[in-house]
Amino acid sequence: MKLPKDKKKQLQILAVAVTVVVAAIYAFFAFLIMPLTSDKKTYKADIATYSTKITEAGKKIQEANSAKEKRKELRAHLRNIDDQYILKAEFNNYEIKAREYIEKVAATANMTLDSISPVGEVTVSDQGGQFRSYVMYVSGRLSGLHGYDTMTNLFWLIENNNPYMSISKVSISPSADPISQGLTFTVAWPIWANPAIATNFLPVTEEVEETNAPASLAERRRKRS
Amino acid sequence: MKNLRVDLILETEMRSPSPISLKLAVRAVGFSLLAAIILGTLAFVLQVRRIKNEKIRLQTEFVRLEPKQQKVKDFQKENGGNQKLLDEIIGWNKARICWSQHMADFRAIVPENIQITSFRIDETNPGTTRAFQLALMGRAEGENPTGLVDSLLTALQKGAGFSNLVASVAVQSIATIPGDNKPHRLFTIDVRYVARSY
Repeated sequence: MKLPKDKKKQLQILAVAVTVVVAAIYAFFAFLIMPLTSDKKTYKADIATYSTKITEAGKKIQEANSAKEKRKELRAHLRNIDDQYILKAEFNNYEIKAREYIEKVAATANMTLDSISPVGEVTVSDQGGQFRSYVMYVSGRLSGLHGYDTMTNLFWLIENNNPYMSISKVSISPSADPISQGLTFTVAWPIWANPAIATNFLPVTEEVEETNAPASLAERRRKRS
Repeated sequence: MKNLRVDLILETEMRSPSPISLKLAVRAVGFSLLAAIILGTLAFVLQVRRIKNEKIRLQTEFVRLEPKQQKVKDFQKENGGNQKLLDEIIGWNKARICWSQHMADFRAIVPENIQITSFRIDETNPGTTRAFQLALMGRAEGENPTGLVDSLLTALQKGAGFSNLVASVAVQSIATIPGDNKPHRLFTIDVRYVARSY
């Protein structure tokens, strides 16, 4: 192709050529290089993010066995406390079992009680915990030389049979009978503020837990082959 | 001789004296540049694709690990809640005073010539702590009843089973018995126990 001899036309062709080349360069950068550069930057940031997340996940998964063990232990421990030491309501009433228990230990300690009456449910702490207290008021009589021993024996039975029960408001005062003193005290059992919480520590079922540590690349290849 | 020079080759037909023509060199450079740009672009595109594939691989790996990680997190969260429950109930044990033992200790420190006529334990401000208070009333007999009350006071402060539990001991009153010609005393002692946290 030959250029026209006319200088003006030559300049026009040159201008068109320069415009086309500039447009091509612009399009090349604007529609190919820039988006790719931006994508590359995003992908690199994503890679860094996922690498961190994978490392963290790996570390967390390494803790799976100890977490599972601890879960079993805590559940068993709480279940044991629940079974043995937390007072349960019978027909929506704590009094029946509480009274039964006090009568039983008093009989074991050879103490004759005058009365057992319910004080009721008490919130024990301002911290809004999961336990409340069920309190019974007990009155009896310390008679003869061994009255005090009988009382300490009764307290010992209450406090040792259940490490979470507590005795309070003990009062020993003179009575009309000169060889005996009046004894009153309160006994408090722990009860659940919400009894449904006991489902939180049911035995762990033998579930297939996908929480084993991630297999190494070599292991995965070996499995595949 | 006159100017007999005849141009057999016109200027436009003249060739470069160099073995490589400028036009060829310009074309070669042009093509090389174009080829370099194409190859460079291709390499760049491939590099971006490789990075993208790496990102997809890591993403897939994370998607595979995430449920396992979540399960461990759930276990740990549950353990935290259950540990809190356990600590709370253990707090019940720590906050109580074992009165069976303490009352046996009490009997051991009361001097022979002191007769306790009233023994009353109350629990005050049961908020986040349990604070117990003991009000004692008694009668001191013998030659030196005031000394006996003092020794009971000391035993309540420093005696075995008391020193670690008692915060303060104070005699509220000590008085002679009206109509009694012996130096016997009636006394009231107030014992405050160290508040025990749940």
